[in-house]
Amino acid sequence: MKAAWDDASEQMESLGDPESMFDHLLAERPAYLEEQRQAMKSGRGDQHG
Amino acid sequence: MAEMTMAEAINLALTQEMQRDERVFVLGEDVGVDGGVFRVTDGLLDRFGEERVMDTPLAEAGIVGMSTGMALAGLRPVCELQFSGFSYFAFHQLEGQTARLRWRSRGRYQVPLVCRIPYGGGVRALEHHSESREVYYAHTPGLKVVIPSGPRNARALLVSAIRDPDPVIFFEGKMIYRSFREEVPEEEETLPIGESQIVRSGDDVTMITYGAMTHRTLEAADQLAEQDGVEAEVIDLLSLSPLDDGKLSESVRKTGRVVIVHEAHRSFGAAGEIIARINEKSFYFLEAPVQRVTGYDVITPYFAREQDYIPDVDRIVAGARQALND
Repeated sequence: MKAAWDDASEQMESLGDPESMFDHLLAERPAYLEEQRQAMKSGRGDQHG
Repeated sequence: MAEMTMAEAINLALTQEMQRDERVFVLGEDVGVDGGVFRVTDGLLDRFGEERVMDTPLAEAGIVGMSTGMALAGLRPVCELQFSGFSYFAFHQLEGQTARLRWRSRGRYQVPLVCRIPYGGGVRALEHHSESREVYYAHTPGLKVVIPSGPRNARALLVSAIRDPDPVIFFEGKMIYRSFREEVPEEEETLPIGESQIVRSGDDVTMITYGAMTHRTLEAADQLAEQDGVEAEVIDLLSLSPLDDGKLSESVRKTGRVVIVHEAHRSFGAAGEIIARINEKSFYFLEAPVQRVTGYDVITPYFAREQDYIPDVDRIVAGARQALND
């Protein structure tokens, strides 16, 4: 169980930077999502839009 | 008074209501032999037997459909859907039947069921297991939506929900099932559905939140007091529908500055509705644009990334500072 958990955790880490959560939602990222992604990336969190 | 976790407090409410009223039934996936996926219904099967504590097949629509029928027949079912991400499979029952039967029958029938749904992140789960989609239900006419923030109010609100004549969707934050304990009285306690609570008083900014985000918001309020000398008023909504417009207006008119915090996605979320109500009732008292601190508009990420998604204390503090400095 622990090995499976560690393996899953490792795979999750390899998913990329946190802002990768904005990838692959839609074929093209709408402006409001890009604003959110940039705000997260720059550490502004919720100050966008 | 005994100190207990929210999971234990919900179990107490179920136990006492089942003792008080033999029409109260519990049903759902693994609620009997296993005591529920989060052990909230632990011990109920031994105490009340398999006629009143029923393990169901893995079929959310069947669970809600059966509960709706039981409620129509005069029983008081409390069903559990294991994760909010599984509740969509029951949505056509909840929206198409449960929520409409009083209206459809011109008041001849009522559906007094409670649908308990663990929601939100914080337990390092996988896809479909960490979502906060409470607004689907708050957007549905004919349903009430209740979201406690701790052991004592969870127990009191669940008792009220079970006794309510209408269907109540009862969201339980997984993050706070066992994260802290509170004193919960053995004697009966209820809280009115549709009333919020001021959990911290202040004059400088109003912070509106609910469920598992309440404690992070209180931490942020304490940080603001310590670092900025700002006194925030924190309102714990407890019910999303009906929403307590009166208390929100009163606080907004006092502070003029507002930040709303929730774990759910940002767009078309609870904060959007709350801002609309503030605009309708208290717009001319606002000193600055209302700020939102929320989950992003993405699929709730896997566990390794969920802490980047869920608002943390730093983000809440930043939101409040924005509201104060605009």
